[in-house]
Amino acid sequence: MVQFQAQDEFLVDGQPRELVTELWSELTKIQSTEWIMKAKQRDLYLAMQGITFTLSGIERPLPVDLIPRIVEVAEWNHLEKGIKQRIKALELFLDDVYGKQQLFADRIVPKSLIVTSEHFHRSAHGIKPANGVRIHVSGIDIVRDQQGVLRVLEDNLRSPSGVSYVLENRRTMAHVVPELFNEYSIRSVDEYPERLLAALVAAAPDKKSHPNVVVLTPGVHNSAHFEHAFLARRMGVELVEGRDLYCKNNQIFMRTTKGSELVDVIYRRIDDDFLDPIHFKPDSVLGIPGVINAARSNNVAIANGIGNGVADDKALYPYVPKLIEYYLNEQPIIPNVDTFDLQLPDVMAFVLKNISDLVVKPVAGSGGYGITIGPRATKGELEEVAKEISSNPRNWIAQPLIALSTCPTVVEDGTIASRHIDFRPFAVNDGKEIWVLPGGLTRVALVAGNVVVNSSQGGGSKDTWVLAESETDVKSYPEIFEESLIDPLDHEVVPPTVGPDVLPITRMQQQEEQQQQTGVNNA
Amino acid sequence: MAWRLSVTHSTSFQYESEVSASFNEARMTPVNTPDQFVISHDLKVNPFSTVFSYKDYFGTEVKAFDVQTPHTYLEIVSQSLVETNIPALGNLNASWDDLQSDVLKNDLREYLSFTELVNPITPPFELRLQDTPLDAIHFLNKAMREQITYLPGSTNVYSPASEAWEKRAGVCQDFTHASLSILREAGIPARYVSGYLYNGSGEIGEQVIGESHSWVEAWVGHWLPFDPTNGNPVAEDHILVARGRDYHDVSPLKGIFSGGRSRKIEVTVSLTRIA
Repeated sequence: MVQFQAQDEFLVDGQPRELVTELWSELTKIQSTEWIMKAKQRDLYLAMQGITFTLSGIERPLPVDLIPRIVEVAEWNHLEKGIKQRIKALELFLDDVYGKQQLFADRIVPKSLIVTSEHFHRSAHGIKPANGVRIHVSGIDIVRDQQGVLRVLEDNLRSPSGVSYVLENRRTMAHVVPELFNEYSIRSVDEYPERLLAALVAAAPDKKSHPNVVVLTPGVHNSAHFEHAFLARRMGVELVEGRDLYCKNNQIFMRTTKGSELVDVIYRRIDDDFLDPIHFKPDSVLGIPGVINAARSNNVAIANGIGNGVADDKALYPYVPKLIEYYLNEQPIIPNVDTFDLQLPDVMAFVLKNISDLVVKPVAGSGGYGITIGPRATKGELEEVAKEISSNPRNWIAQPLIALSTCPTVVEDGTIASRHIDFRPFAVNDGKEIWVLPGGLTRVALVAGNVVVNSSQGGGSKDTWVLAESETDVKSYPEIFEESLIDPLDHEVVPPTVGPDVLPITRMQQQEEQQQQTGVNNA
Repeated sequence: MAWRLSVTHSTSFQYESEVSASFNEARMTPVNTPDQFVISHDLKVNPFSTVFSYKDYFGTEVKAFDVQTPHTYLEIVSQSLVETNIPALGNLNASWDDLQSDVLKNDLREYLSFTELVNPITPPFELRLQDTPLDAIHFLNKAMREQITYLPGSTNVYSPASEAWEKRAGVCQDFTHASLSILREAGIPARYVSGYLYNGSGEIGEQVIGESHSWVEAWVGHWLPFDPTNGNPVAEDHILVARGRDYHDVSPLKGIFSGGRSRKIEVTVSLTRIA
């Protein structure tokens, strides 16, 4: 068994780091009975605001811990630079993979790795976004290892969720524990919706000055529906489902009470597989038939891009440092977590031998599902996973177990205990600049010792304070503003049954002719 | 001496009740290759629809169109005029060892993997016992017609290789899928080719009813086309339209529609040798 000691974000040998001295003295003044009361206030506030996350089918408030995480200026600058670098390289990678494929000729990444990725979509080949952006929004998961080094754990380039909690956590904290803010100058996170909208506007074809932007959601049953609605409301744009949109002559329209409106940009929060039944699942009713060819002819922009998943496939992850060198001629600013490529026979042998000390992850998994943590697994589980990875090396990666850093957290009985955390900062690319939201989602494992922190695994979150460098970028106290700043919408999206132009596509059927088989009904 | 062939490929769908919307992609445009030159091509859709063209991942010209006026029939007529030659073949003397090269296996991975339609089957022979991969192709080209009977109606558009193999019957799509399965199992990269076959006497001006056809290209040093359905060489009578991993990548017409109930499809392909 590997011995390791996690770093703590606040304490060294029980003493607060300089960065948190003031905060720590405030925190330790609060009695456990007070913490319990504050937690109740928090839950009430969250419930009133309707901030929920669906876990295993049950809606519940996303628990925000009342102790923030603090990121100092120098560390933030380092992270910001590293994230920008990474996104820049991954944008070039996607452009290459869905275009010229120069990287295969130059032997940077094995072609077989890309063409066997379930997220490599051949139908995205040749789609050239108007402003060149495919990764409009990304969430790069960062962990601190036992040496204190920040590392990228994984990239999320499809529909990373959680940013709404970043904004809501700040407001919740201001309501429940305003006294903690006193000694710190914290950068504001409220700019996010504006920045996102600006990036979506910049993505519009034909450089329109007032393009029609919509947020496409799979519907109220999706676990992130709260966020879809939140972002649409805060950007002042329509929240739509697939049936509210239709494609005609390679253009996308939205049905409204005032007739049909042309749509220029779709910020979609549905997976590629459901986006267009012509190219993907023919029985999908969540998407819009024809939308991929509309994007191909640059009549509509789709954010994030189709097929981005090939860049956040965990099997590609070990190659990202190499991609940064290849496309940018730079050394990676934030290192990866060491990763074993199981497709190499010697490496596989090593991993099988040391499996009880390693973490094994499915390349297609997300949300922490399917991960086996060697030291915590039973012998039977390890044998099972060893069998799986040897029969299908392409679908798995292995990594050394990282002792994620910890942070003091208020636990159920009102005491402060240390819990493992990770960090997901969000970046927005408008084609001219990659902007990293100064803050992010710090996820915390609420079970003692647990190192899987995903909210889909019952984790909580922390407000993340990025400290301000100078007075100019300070908004030391979060603004508490009213939801209703956005103008009441001048129209409503109507259900498709009264759509003026075409009948709803309720049930799609496939038609295909067999080769050399004429006159046969293939139904 | 090059041939000049005119092809008319008509597809019509009849719906029992009104269809409100239909979205389709046609892959019916012959491609330009060193052995084939497309003089003209035109695709018409009735009810009238604007056609949008693009080149897909495999280099095939795709014609996409939607029909959004209520309709009870849909007719697609694709007309091409193509000059064809006997394909020039490169050196075909790759050894079995050559096919084991990591570079080759990496670069041609897509043509070495099984797919939903090109799934594993168990032939009563072992291709790898042949002296060279080229011998294996010649052997397979003969063997397929001994294994499978050409029988329209025995399979459908979604049938995988294994289904035709069990029935020992199928159409060219099945001959092609089964051949691809056996080749890939033996480590020979192989791809699906879709196109047209002229099967007339060769007399200039005589219109013959032909068919939408499929055959195989296998990599044995260079790509070698062969036609396991007929066992004939691929020559001026074959017009190449699309290449892919299996039928799904090249289907001549693929679409979805909503509304109407059942339908009848009629497909006719007529070819005329002009010169």
